[in-house]
Parts: sequence; C-alpha cells; structure tokens
Amino acid sequence: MVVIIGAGNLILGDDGFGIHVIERLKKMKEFENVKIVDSMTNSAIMLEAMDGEDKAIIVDAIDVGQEEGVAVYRFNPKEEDFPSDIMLSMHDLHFRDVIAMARDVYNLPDEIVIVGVKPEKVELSLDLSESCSGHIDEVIDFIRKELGINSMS
Amino acid sequence: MEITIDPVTRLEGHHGVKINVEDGVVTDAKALALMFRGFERILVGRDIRDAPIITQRICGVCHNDHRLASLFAIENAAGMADEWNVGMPPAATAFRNLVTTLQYVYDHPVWVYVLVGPDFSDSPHKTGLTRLNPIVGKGVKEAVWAQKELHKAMAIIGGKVPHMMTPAPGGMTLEIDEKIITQLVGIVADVKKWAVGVGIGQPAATNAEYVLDEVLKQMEEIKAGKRDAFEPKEGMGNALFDMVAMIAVAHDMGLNEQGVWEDSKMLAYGFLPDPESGELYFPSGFFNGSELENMDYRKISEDVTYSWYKDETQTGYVGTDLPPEPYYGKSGAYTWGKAPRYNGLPAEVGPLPRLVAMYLKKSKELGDPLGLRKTFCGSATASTALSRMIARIQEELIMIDYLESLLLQLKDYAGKKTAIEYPENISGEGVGLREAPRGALGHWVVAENGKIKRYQAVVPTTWNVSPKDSKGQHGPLESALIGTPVSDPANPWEVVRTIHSFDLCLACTVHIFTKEGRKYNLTLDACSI
Repeated sequence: MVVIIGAGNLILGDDGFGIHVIERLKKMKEFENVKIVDSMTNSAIMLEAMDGEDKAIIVDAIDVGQEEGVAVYRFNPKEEDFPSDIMLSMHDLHFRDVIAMARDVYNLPDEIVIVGVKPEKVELSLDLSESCSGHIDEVIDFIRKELGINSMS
Repeated sequence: MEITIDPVTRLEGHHGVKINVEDGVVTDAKALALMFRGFERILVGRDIRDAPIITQRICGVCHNDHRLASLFAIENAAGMADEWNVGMPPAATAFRNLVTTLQYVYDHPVWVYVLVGPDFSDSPHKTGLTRLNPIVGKGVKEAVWAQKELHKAMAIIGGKVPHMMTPAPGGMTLEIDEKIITQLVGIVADVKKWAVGVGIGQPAATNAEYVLDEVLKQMEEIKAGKRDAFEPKEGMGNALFDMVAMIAVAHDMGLNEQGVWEDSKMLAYGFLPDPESGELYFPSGFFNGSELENMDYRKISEDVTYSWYKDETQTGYVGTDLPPEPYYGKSGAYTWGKAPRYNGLPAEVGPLPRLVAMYLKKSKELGDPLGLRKTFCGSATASTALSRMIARIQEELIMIDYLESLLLQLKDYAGKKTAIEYPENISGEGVGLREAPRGALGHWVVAENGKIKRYQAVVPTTWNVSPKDSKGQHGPLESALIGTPVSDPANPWEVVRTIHSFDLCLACTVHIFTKEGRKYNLTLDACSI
C-alpha cells in the first residue's frame, strides 16, 4: 500500500506546503481510499505512518538549491548507504539521520518519494506564497501518476 | 586561561559554562543560562485552570511533570490536597503515579542513549561501546523501539504525547479499566524484557550481578585486544548491559574523581504518594553533608544577585516573589538562571539526591541498589560525576519494579472515580512539589477570584546550574566544576562529562578563549563529544 504524508509547519507560510497539498487531496474523490497522513513537523508520526507500507510519498517544502519549482527525490532506505557524518541535535534532526535511526526499528517502505516546491517565504503566516500555491496542481498531478490514477479532468 | 563552552545542549538548549583553568585544574566556574523563559509572566492574569496547560509547554520532554506540578499547586490552592497532592481520590493518585513512572522509565534511557552515551561510545574513544554510537549503534536503535512503545503507553492514557491531556484540575478525565491495564502490561512486559532481561514478576535487579561480572570480564578482554566491543548475552537485558558497561568505562576514565562537590548539599522534594496512606515512595529531605534533615518548602528562596533580574523581585520566600522583572546588563550578573537556595544554602537535585534521601530515610539496599555507588565512588552519598551517573541508572531499575507493582495495583481502582469537581473562582495560595527525572520540581501559585496573581516555577536545572548568590556561594554545577582537572584545554572532556552528569545536555559548537584572546571555534559532531 501507498501512504501520502504531508510534512511541515502550517503556520510558517510556505513551510506548510505539504499540509496544504494533502488537505486538498483529502477533499478529492479519487484519493478517498488512499492513506493520507499529516505528520506536521514530527518525524515520529512520519515514521509511524510509513511503517509496513510498500511506498511512501512525502510532500514538503524542499530547498535543495534548485532555481525554483518542483523537486523530486526517490530512494530506497533499505539499500541506500547513509553517510556517517551525523550531526546530533534533538531539535534539528536531518531527514537522513531519522531514516538511519529508524532502520531496523520500523518496517520502512522499499520506495520513498519526496516531492516538494522551493519555499519563497518561511515566516509567520497561514497562507502560501503565490509561487508555491501555483505549483499545487502540478504536485497533485505528480502524485496521481505515482499512484497510477488517471486524471478525472 | 578562560574557557567558554556554549551551548552545552543535547536536549533543551541555551546553556553554557565559562571556566577559568590554571595549571590544569578548573579554578572558577560560571554557569550560564542564556535564554529568558518568562512563563511566569505569561500566566499572570489568566484563569488558574490554564496554568497546567501552559506550563506543560515549558518542556517537550518532561511535559507531564510540569502539568502535574502545576495541577498539584492549583489543587493545593483550592484546598483539595496537600503540596504532594495527597488528598485527591486514590484512583486519581494511582493514575497520576502511573503517568509519572512511565515518564521516568522513558526518560532515563534517553539520557543513556542520546544525551550522555555518545560521550563514552566507541566512535570518539575506542571504548568498545559500539552499541552506544550515535544513531546507528545497535543499543540506540533498540532504545528507539522501547521509547516508541512507551510513548504508545503514554498515549493510551493521555490521548497524545507529548503534552498528554487527561490529568486535569480535580483529577483525571479518564477512568481506569481492564482494557487500559491489559494494553499497558503488554507494553511494559516487552520493554522490561529488553531493559533488564526478565519478565513480569521478577525484580529488575535479578540479573544485575551477573551482568556486572560479564561486563568487567569483557572489559578485560577488550583491553587485552581479545575482542573489540561489548556485547550482551541472551537474556541479560540489553539496556542493563549497556548501562553497566557505560558505568565501567566511565569509572575506568576516572569519573569518580571528576565533578566532585566536596561539601555537597542535596535536596529531594519526594514524590509518588501511596494512594491510600499518602506516604511518599521517594522520601523528601535535605542532605546537609552529614545527615538528612526534614524538608520544609518554606525555606526555599531564590537569589538574583548574579542574575539578570531586578533585585526587588525577590522577597525571601519563593512563594511570595514577584514575577521576574528582566534587567539585562545588570552589573555583575551573568545568567538568566536564578539561584534557588534551601535555608540559604545551594543544593544539588536529581536522581542522586533522591536516592541519598531514600538511602538515609528508608533503606540502604533500596537507596544504593547493589552497592554500586559505595563500590565505585567510595560512599553512597558522595557527589561525583560517576555517582550521579550511577544513581540515574539505579533509579531506572527501581522505577521499572515500581511501575510493575503499580500496574497490578491499578486493578483495584478499575471503574472507580478519578476526579472530583474543581471549584470556580478560588482565592488562595498553592504549592505543588514533586520530582521530575532531572530533579526537584516545584510550582507556586497565588490566585485571586480564579485568576493567577503570582506564579513561580522552580525547575531542577535552575537548582543545579544556579549562579553565585549574595553570600558568594556557588551553585552545584559550578562547585562540581571547580577542582575538576582539565588535561587538554582544546578538548575539555572532563568539564563536558561533569556537565552531562547533571543531565543538562550538550551540543555541537565549543568556543574556547585563551587569556591571549585567541579564539578556537571547534565544531564537534556528536560522535566526537
């Protein structure tokens, strides 16, 4: 089974991109039988949601130095060799470190896909910037393809 | 040479230490708390029933402890219970004891595997403690599993974690039933098996001597080059094995001679009242260096001579202090931390003071299980970096047994009333005393017509990292640091380990200043600290 996880902080503008997307998905008939989880900023909820699933799609704000727009990452946590230069801080765990710690503890999916948009404004706000909200449809289309759902439109 | 280590945080941030080193020994120390908290100010004017919800947010780790301390204080103010919450319905007390105990069984392993374990793990020092290597160590992974299970247990009772919802003014919003007990017993049985290698019905320390022998044997083999890592044998209890191995390594590194507070004072508020008799399982007391005095909370004051607050906010007794009025830049001050004092004296708080109180008041066996502090540190009441570490681990053993007996006891309270009505518009003063994993925790409230007029939370770390007071007396951490050897100023491990023995946590960047004003900026990852 596939789980779609929205990550981020809803009150910090574009950081809440993932939550805005899954809130939209929850209202769409074509996703009514899909497991959708709001993990907020909590990595434990994210791990719990992925536990035992075949595939996870995580939607989040992603800044990997791309010019703008949507970025996609895809990896298999069981096969990836994670680097050992781990920086440990309880309040700032790197996603990679969380996965490394969860290995052998949780039954993680063979495939994790991370999809998201470069944030423009991360500041106290409930709203997305125009550039981010403009990419929501594109991300939903991407998720449809990942799930093999044909667009109803 | 002056050395500043800031931050020293692996858990809750913003604490630092400034030390002076001469001839390889710390000659002066200043404990720095560089973040203003201000919860007390947020609370003034609000409905008193909001206090437990808001103060719970003081911490994301010991959230339950603040919620309970605050409830104890407001229920005391309402005349429903004494300062230890004795007087509430027995079923509520039993339930609250369960919340408390789960928190301990969860929390001490966090300290072992995340907060202090990396200091002694194989990755920086080739100690053979590969199981404690940050994040990827086998022991660390097992602890993550156990914590997931214990969080589940807390969520079954509290609705969610962190910041559970069910302890509420007047009792608990949930009644105990068979289903809850069965679920909890299942989780506790699994966790106990991992932690100490035995099932329900057997004392946690059953394996302890065997484990100690095995650890010492493996240690000799590692030193002789016959093996390179500690490995528990089947059924030993992996956590117990890791904890004992960590103690053996720490002793080997000389921690019994580091962080020594010669003239130590210790304070325990006591907690876990028996639901029927009200007797505290962990007794209260003030250890004055030679004997245990009865504890009277009216002797607790907070000194702000060296803290960034206006001097007039202190009155003598903490319960009548005004909300803290910040005065950053006050001459001579160096911290946002206040200096709590008992009868005018500084006092260490935490597992060691709790067990010392238990040792002197209840029983030697219970207060120093397996005689570990006596054996490794010369005396059960000695205050050293190692004895603080041992006490934390001993307490984990005690708590696992206590948790189990409590679960069995809960059956008697199934279906019984866990709450009584909390009156509206109360006026009065209340005190809530208890013990959080890191030490004595007290909340003080003054209410008028249901609104908060004054609020003070004196938290464990405030006791331990308190600055000097008007009499020039150093706080416990400062006293423990003074006299600590520093073999290498560029890597002051002895200082860091002393700090960690108080469970204050630590982080990644160490700034070092020499007297010539040269600044080293070392970025250390968790593997090297």
